[in-house]
Amino acid sequence: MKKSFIALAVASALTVPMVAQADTTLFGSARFDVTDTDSADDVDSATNRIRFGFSGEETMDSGLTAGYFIRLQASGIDGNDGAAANGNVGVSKVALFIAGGFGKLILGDADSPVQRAEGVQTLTAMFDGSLEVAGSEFSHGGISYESNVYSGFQFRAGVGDVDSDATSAEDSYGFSVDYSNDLLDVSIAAGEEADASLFGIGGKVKLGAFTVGAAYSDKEDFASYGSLSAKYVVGKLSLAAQYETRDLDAAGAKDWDSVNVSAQYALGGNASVTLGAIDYNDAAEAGGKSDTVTLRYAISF
Amino acid sequence: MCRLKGLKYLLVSMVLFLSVGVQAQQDIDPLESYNRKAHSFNNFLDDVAFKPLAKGYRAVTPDLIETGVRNVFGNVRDLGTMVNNVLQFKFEHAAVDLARVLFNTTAGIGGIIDVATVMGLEKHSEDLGQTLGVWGVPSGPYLVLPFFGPGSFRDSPATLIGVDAWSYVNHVPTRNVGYAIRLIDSRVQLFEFETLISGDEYIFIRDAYLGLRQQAVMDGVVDETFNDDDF
Repeated sequence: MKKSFIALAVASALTVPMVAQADTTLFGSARFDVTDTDSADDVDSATNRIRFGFSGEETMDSGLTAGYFIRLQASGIDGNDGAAANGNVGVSKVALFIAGGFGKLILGDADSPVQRAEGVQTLTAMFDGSLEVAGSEFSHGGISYESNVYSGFQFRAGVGDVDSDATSAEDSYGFSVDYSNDLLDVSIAAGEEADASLFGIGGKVKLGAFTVGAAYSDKEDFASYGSLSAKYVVGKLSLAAQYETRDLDAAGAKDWDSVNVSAQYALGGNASVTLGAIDYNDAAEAGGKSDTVTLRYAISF
Repeated sequence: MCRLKGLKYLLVSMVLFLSVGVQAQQDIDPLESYNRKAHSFNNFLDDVAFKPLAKGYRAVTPDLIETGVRNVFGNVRDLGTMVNNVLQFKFEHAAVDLARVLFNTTAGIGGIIDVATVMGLEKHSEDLGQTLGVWGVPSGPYLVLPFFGPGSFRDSPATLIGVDAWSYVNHVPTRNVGYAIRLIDSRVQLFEFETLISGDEYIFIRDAYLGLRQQAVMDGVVDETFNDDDF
């Protein structure tokens, strides 16, 4: 009798906050990888990424929508991989937004427009974009704008951390024009990052069970990037491949090339198994890249 | 389940072929005299060598290991199936075959565990004879080759020159031991079907073989027009 009363009290205590936060969505994902890395000459298994977070939106008195996206991440919880060892959890992405008839204003983390243009054509399930040149997203202090979609067209613009005393690494901005329909996604973007101008164009087109994509980008005084990718979907199975090249501007520097392939099978219930591999050329390996094969079991919620 | 399906095909094919008539039998088996001699020779080999070896293998090998060995060779065979599916323009099946090999070779520890089937990736079976059949090459007369068993003018050469991924194993002793184990394991799998044989064994096996091959080429679709006069 006493136990029933306690259980009822606990249930009531849990129920009240759930009702109060009914518009909040809890989401997350976890991966278990078995990885064979060429440089380490080692096979390693690890729960190498756990992410979870909350997102939601509310209507303000003005009628505009206020929203939030907060994602936390624990890396390398087996203590062997990554910086956040032994179960440490950190904030990996935070973005607040205000949306209305004018579009959406995003405050916080967001992909820079050029970074997004590079990634539009990403089709492989693992190792994609390893040689991209616009690697920096607008970090926590970023301010971005996304227009509404007009006949498939959308305009984006944004700046990175706003800090007049900051180093040039945080001094970034960019804008893009995207077009999207059922078969086609294209993004053209330009901007600046670390005092270097950036330009990028990427797209993908769906041809039945096949999707093919391509991207080109250039970062001043650093490198240009090119990519070709393809994906073939059969039911719950997808096979994909990507070729990437980074043409370094430095005198005498050799091009970095990579080929990555993946096979992903959806097990249902938001679980999947993925086998991926990436192979770099000698110049990329000399620059610190390593050939890798990974077998991954992942689940999201 | 697959074997029951195979048995069903076998029985259906028997009915079909028994209804074709004497004239048709001469068309499909003009070399019957030679074939019967080759069949007897193969039976002799089976009695003195393959059958005893297969019985011994099954007696001393735990079921778990037997299944693992069968899975390894099945995984290798999936590569040949993939190539033949490409040649037959069945790209969806080829993609599934490729995924089967990738997942079984890695997650399945070299193919010992058939994790792909557990995941839901359907196993297919294609060979060069089926590919030639899909391309329109007729089966030709029934042909029994010593050591190789039942076949046809189309299928027997295709068996000899077909895609056998195991033949690309570089280490010769490993390759040869593999051939031997695969042969014995194939014989083990026939034990359960031996009890089905009745009447003239040669005709039973011939008709069953030709019927199953037709089913395989047609992917299970029976392309026969039944005539009331046949019944």
